[in-house]
Formats: sequence, C-alpha cells, structure tokens
Amino acid sequence: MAVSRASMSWNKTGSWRSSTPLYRDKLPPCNYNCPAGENIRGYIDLVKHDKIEEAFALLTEANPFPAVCGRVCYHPCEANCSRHSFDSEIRVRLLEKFIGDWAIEHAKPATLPELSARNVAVIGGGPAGLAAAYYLRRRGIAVTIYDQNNLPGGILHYGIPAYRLGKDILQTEIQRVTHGCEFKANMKFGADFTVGDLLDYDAVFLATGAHRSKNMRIVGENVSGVESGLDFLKQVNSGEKIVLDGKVIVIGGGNTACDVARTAYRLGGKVTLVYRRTEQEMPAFAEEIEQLKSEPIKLEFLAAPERIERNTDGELRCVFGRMELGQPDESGRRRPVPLDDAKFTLSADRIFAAVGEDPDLSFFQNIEQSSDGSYDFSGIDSRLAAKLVIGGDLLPNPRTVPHAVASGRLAAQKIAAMLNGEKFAPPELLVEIAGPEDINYQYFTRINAVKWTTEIIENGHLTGREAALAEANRCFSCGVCNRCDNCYNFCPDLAVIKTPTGYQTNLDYCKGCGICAAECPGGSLRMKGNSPA
Amino acid sequence: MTDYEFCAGHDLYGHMACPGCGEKILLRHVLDVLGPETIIVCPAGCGAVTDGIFPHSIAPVPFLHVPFGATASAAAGIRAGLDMSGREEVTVLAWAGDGATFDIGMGPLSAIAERNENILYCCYDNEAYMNTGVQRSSATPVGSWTTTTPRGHLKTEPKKNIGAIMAAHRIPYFATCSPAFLDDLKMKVTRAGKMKGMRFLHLFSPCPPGWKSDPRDGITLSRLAVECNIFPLYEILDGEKYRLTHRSQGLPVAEYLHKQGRFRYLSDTEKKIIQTDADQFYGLLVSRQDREKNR
Ligand SMILES: Cc1cc2nc3c(=O)[nH]c(=O)nc-3n(C[C@H](O)[C@H](O)[C@H](O)COP(=O)(O)OP(=O)(O)OC[C@H]3O[C@@H](n4cnc5c(N)ncnc54)[C@H](O)[C@@H]3O)c2cc1C
Ligand SMILES: Cc1ncc(C[n+]2csc(CCOP(=O)(O)OP(=O)(O)O)c2C)c(N)n1
Ligand code: SF4
Ligand code: SF4
Ligand code: SF4
Ligand SMILES: [Mg+2]
Repeated sequence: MAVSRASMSWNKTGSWRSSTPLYRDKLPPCNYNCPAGENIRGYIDLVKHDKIEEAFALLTEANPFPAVCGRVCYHPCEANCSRHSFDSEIRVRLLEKFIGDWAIEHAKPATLPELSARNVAVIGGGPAGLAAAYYLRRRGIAVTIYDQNNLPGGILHYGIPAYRLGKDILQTEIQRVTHGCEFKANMKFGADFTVGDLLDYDAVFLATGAHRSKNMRIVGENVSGVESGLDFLKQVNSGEKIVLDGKVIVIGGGNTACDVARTAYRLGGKVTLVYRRTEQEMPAFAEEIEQLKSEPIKLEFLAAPERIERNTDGELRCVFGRMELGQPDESGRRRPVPLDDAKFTLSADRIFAAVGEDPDLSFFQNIEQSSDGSYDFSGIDSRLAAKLVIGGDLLPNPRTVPHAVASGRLAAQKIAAMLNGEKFAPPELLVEIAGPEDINYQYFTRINAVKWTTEIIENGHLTGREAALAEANRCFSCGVCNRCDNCYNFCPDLAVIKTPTGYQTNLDYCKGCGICAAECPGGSLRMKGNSPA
Repeated sequence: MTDYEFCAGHDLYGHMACPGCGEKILLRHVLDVLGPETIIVCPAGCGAVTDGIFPHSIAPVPFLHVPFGATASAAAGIRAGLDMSGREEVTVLAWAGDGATFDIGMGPLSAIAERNENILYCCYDNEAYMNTGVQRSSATPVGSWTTTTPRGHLKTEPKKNIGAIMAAHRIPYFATCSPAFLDDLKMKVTRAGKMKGMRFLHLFSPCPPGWKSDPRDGITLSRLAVECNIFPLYEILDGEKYRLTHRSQGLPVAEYLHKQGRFRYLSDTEKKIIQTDADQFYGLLVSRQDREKNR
C-alpha cells in the first residue's frame, strides 16, 4: 500500500480559472437612493449594537434633520430596500426618527470649532439654508441666516401641518442645527435688506424656496373666497384661529393640495379635492395619498376648473370640465384631455388653489429660467454673482426635504472650498450597488417588520429602543462583508485566506467555481469574468 | 464558527477535483474535526484520484489507496494492525464513494458492520460512478439521467436506503451530513469520533459535472436537498433511536430539481412522485423519532 506525504502545492490549479472572486464592498440600495446621501447601512449597524449616539453622529454627517426627515421624508430608501421582496422593507425612516428623537432628548450640545474670520450669509431659513448653515458653522465659518418669517424652518414650519410634524419637535431640532449661528427673523430680502447689505460677506447662500402659488389661469380666480392653498397653510401654521364649517374645494394633486385638504378637514370643512388626472398621476407622495384617502375627504378625479363665479345670492360656484387621459406628457404621466361638453358645477364656501408653486425671485432683475428649470443668476450685480451659491427648491431638483438638505450640505462644501481658493469637486459616489440579486436570501429568516405605526411611537406604547433594535437587526447589511466565514468554509480548494481585515483569494489555487460568491450572504463578494457554467 | 482548524495548517490545495466539487469540502471539515491521529482508507473513485498524483497527496494524514470493493475489509485489517501495535487512539477513516459503498463494497461493509468493527466509515455520496463518467449506482435517485440511464431510460428504481441497512446491523451510530450545514456536520463527526465500534456517516456530495449543475450551486443544492426533504439530516443510535437534527422547511422538491441538468427530462408526474416520496420519507423519520420519544 502506498503512503505519500509530499504535498500537491506545486499544482497551481489557479490556471483552470475562467472567473475570479472579487471582494469589494458595494453601496446598498438604501444609501444609493437616499437623496440626502445618508449612510443608512452604517447607522443601522450601529443601532443594531445599541450605539445610538454613534448612529446619530454618523447620520448627521449627511443630514442634520433626523427627527424631521424621520417624519416627513418620502423614504425612497425603504422602497428600494432589498428586504422588500423577501418579507418587508426595513423601516428606515422610523429608525431615523428614533435616532432623531433620541437626539432631541439626549444629545449634548456639540462643541463647535472656533470661528475664523470668514462670514457667510444664508438667505432663507428652510431645510436647505439651515443645513448649509449647520455644515458651514462646523467648518468654523460664521453664519447669519436671514428669513422673512418670524421662525426658521420654511415649509417645514409654515407649510407642513403640525399633525405630520410637531412644531415643538421641529423647533427643538432646528435649535440644535442652528447652534452657533445667528438667525435674523422678519428680514425680507429685497425689502428689509438688499444686495448692498450682502457685499461684506465672503459668500452668500440663497435658498428662498418656492412660495408663489401658481395661477389656475381661469376666469374668476380672484373672486373673494378663492385663495392660495399654501397661504392658507401658512396662516394655520402661524397659529391663526380659522374655522371652516362649510364646503371646501381644493384644486390640485400635489403635497400642498393634500395638506390643504387634510388641514381644512381638521378645521371642520366638508372637503372635496379635485384633480385633473387620476390618483396614479398625483404628484403627491404615495404615503400622503394613502392618508388622504383614509380620511372623509371626497376625491374628484379627471376634472379641471374652467370658471369660478359668485351668483347673485352670493353663492360661490366652480364649473369643472370633465377630462380623460391622453398621451403621456414630458413628465411621463398621461395628459388630461377635455371631454367635449361634459361639465359639472360644485358650490363652495371656500376654494383653495394648490396647483403648484414657483420661486419668487422679485428681489433680483434679469433672472432667466432655462428649459431644464434652472435659473440663470449671471445677470445680477456682479459683485454678488461672484460669491452666490443657490440651493433647495431654487434648483431644478425634485422638491423634497432630503434634496433640500443635500443641496445645503453640498453648498457648504462648495463655499468652504471657494473660501480656501480650492476647486470644488462633488464627491464621487461609489456606484457599484449590491441589489436584491446579490443577496443570498437562504441565509435570512423571514421576520415581519415590527408593527410600528407613527402613532404607536408618538404615544410611547412601544419602547422605542427595543423596537428599533429589533428592526435594525433585520437589516441585511447589503454590500459589506460581515465576516461570516462562508467563503472560507465552503471553498473546495481551500483558496480563501483569512486576513486581519477580511478575506483574500489565493489565486494560485482558486479554480473559479463561484461557490464563495454564491454563498456570500450580503453580496460583498462577486465573480468577475465569464460565468464558469 | 470553526473551532477546528487542523486542515488550515496544511496544503490541502492543488488537488485535482473539478471546480465546485463537494467531496473536498466534506473531507476538509471531517478532517478538521478528527485531527492528525487519523488514517484514511480510500478505494478507487474521485476521492482517490483527485487526492494527488503519486507520490503526492493533499491529505495531511496517511492516505491508503485500496481496491474498489475492498474498503471495508482493508479498513478492518488496518484497524486490527493498529490495535495489535497498541495504537487504539488512531481513527480508521474509510472514505468511499457511493458506488464503492452501496454497490461493490456492500458485502464487506455488511461484514464489518455485523462485527461492529471500530471504524468510522464515511460515504461521500455523489449519486453515481462519477470518476468513470457518470454511470448509475444504487445511490442514484429515481428519475436521474446518467450515461447508463439516458434520456428515455431514466432510472426507475428509488435510491437504496442506506440508513435502514446500517440500522438493521444495529451499529452504534449512523448519521447523514450536508456540507451546507457545517455545524450539524461537525457535531456528528465529533460524536462519531468519540464513539467506539462501527460508525457510518452518509455525506451529501454535490458533483457539478455529474449532476449537470453550475459549480457555484453546490452548497445551495446541498441546502435545498435538506430543506426539500430529499436528504433529511438525522441520526440513528444503536440502529433504533432516530433523531432529526434539523427541522426542514419542507420546500417543494422542484426548487432542488430544476437547478440540475440530470433531472431535466423528468415529467410533471415523475416530479410529483419524487415529491410524495420525499414527504413520506420525512414523515417516516418524524414518526420514528416520535415513537422513540413516547417510549
Ligand atoms: C405643503 C407642502 C408640503 C410638503 N411636504 C413635504 C414632505 O412631506 N416631504 C418632503 O420631503 N417634502 C415636502 N415638501 C417639499 C419641501 O418642503 C421643500 O422641497 C423644501 O422645504 C425646500 O426647502 P428650501 O429650503 O429650499 O425652501 P423652503 O422650505 O421653502 O424655505 C425657504 C425659506 O426662505 C424664506 N424666504 C423666501 N423668500 C425670502 C426673502 N425674500 N427673504 C427672506 N427670506 C425668504 C422663506 O420664508 C422660507 O423660510 C412639501 C412642500 C409643501 C409646499
Ligand atoms: C474492481 C474495479 N472495478 C471498476 C473500477 C473502475 N472504477 C474506478 S472509479 C469507479 C467509480 C467509482 O464510483 P464511486 O464509488 O461512486 O466514486 P466516485 O467516483 O463517484 O467518487 C470505477 C467504476 C475499478 N477501479 N476497480
Ligand atoms: S436590508 Fe439594510 S442595507 Fe439592505 S437595502 Fe435594506 S436597509 Fe439597506
Ligand atoms: S470557492 Fe474557492 S475555488 Fe471557488 S471561486 Fe471561491 S475561492 Fe475560487
Ligand atoms: S467528477 Fe464530481 S466527484 Fe469527481 S472530482 Fe469532479 S466534481 Fe468531484
Ligand atoms: Mg459516486
């Protein structure tokens, strides 16, 4: 019988290989889809380990508003979560809210860097302006925020109703964000101060939002009783006591229209919301539409206002034309097309128009808007133009809070670079994504999302921490190596080497079978090259 | 997870097995548990041929090549020799394919089982004679394509129930192991390793070329075989006490079958029969286990 003890290590089976394992961390779909650029996977991992303070620190590297976004963000992170098709998506927004609420109670005031001689003016105290102020101040730059309103927050305070975002929570979070900055209330640019007052600043960030309600362009829209929906929200959110006990018509299908309808209902109105297309085409966030539908608000689709009038006995009436859906327009949504002679009339006590908003840039002359929606500021006073950066709803981006926050953070980076005489290059995103196809679902068990409703959390029926930890533990940590040893254990060729920081393939012997990549639970390992099949 | 790293310190690479071969995953983890005081007895088959080119071997312990049908008798002889020279602590590990075990080596196997020889017999089961080019064995599952059960003449006989055969010999320990369930595998090898007498481990061993499956799917298939009740994980003590060591998810067998070219020619009726067989077998194991509990 033959016994041999000489090894086969001379036989470099790596030459058999036609595809090669590649260890590389990838972006998870949640991070990739977060408009604010949050490291969601990172802070969920910290919550998993009950490191809430660290989670808060990581989250606020990208977004200083977790309590706000945890309530009002439209959460594209959740819609794209790889756990979605498995059982149910990670409730990222609620985790964000948990972290935000933790910070409101527990976060200690940050120690800020000493101020340099640099001064920046921020015009507009909405999420864009406030985020810019936050990241500028953290770079040691002095910030003065000007706003025409009494309180900071912009749409967050004066647009979004309190039942969606409590004013106390909002203002407490804003206080933390603006810590170390100066806020100048009731200062309207173009009236209370002008270009000349800005020239002493090293840079100016302009984020005055989009507040001018669009006209409906119909006869009678100026009749008394017909008002701008956004102005109505502003009155309510400023604390004005308004009672609506009659019939209310809200015209529009966006977030403003939904908030106006739901607010009017809460103030006692019998509300009908009229939209010219169908529910599918409504530009409002899906969640808002769901909530709208759950309330006793009448929805009238495929109807466009044609004329408003007050007849002799003082009754306010709106005549609507019936619509049908035609070909898709440039937004991809099907265009409403009038149906000849199909009309109906609704009477009302108040009519709110919420058919969109435009920025009010009347403080400047010579502003051009190009076809992509962006504004050209090159025609303004050149001394200001040279140091002007714009953001938030003034940009041709989707108008959302996380987009506004991201624009503010980017502006701060840009301004800081500008002041240092550097060229600003926006950070490149790692674009390799570990999507659902990279997840080996066999390694995960189905556990349904902790049944969290906003109400349960608000009313404290569930201890937040336990629920948050349970929810965080469901996260797959898509795209990163979690040191599970699968590749190491399953390689038929012992070609996986453990290193202090992870694993490495021994290419001398790896035959490229692909088992290691197939058994990598979270998709940090992928085969490169031709499929070995 | 691994407590045992015996193989990590040795050159187990450079072997000649196909990409994705399950046998080498199994060998490494079994040896990790058994450690250096082991002698491997291996008959003709992939396990022997891919181990190395004489005089080279990947095995970190003595590796003895023996004739195809002689695994059990050779193992018994080595056992006797070791015992005579006072080396009772050395484990004799018979490492044989399904052809060598279920078919040609069955006589000697039955003999050492009947005599309760102190041997750990591992059958790595890739469900056909793979080394000679995929001929059917009595371990080949019903409905499978092989070169001797080609399309139109697929295998009609069900796989031999090796667990029942071993149990009928009342050996101290029988268990099934899957490379996808390494904790379970190591628990069983550890258990078997500590026992004396005849122990038999039935190891599920994916073979990409023989199964016409993607090499990357080996572990996935191993897991599915367990979760579809095609290859349940269980053990039998003293030929009597049945115990399931993994509660299966009871997934449809189709999930396992459709990933393998060897099952490509199955009709829906045949798939249904395989499903029923799988469910019945698992049900039988559950009832044997329950009977044990109620005693
Ligand atoms: C009713 C409504 C509901 C919404 N709901 C959501 C939601 O649920 N989720 C979401 O993600 N997004 C929502 N949005 C969109 C989101 O609120 C905006 O995209 C976001 O607030 C834009 O931030 P901003 O900082 O650019 O502007 P704004 O929030 O509009 O802030 C601009 C600030 O500039 C000030 N300002 C304007 N002009 C001047 C001037 N001349 N001088 C001084 N100050 C001035 C204003 O007072 C205001 O404080 C909603 C929008 C509306 C209208
Ligand atoms: C007596 C004898 N008959 C036939 C052969 C040829 N032979 C070598 S390996 C092998 C197949 C072994 O099949 P199995 O035991 O299932 O092991 P596998 O190759 O599938 O791993 C055969 C038939 C032989 N070596 N000796
Ligand atoms: S499972 Fe976790 S890391 Fe993956 S997409 Fe969802 S939240 Fe992000
Ligand atoms: S499991 Fe081993 S041989 Fe197969 S691709 Fe990975 S490193 Fe290479
Ligand atoms: S034919 Fe099958 S059992 Fe033999 S070395 Fe290749 S993969 Fe392994
Ligand atoms: Mg075989």
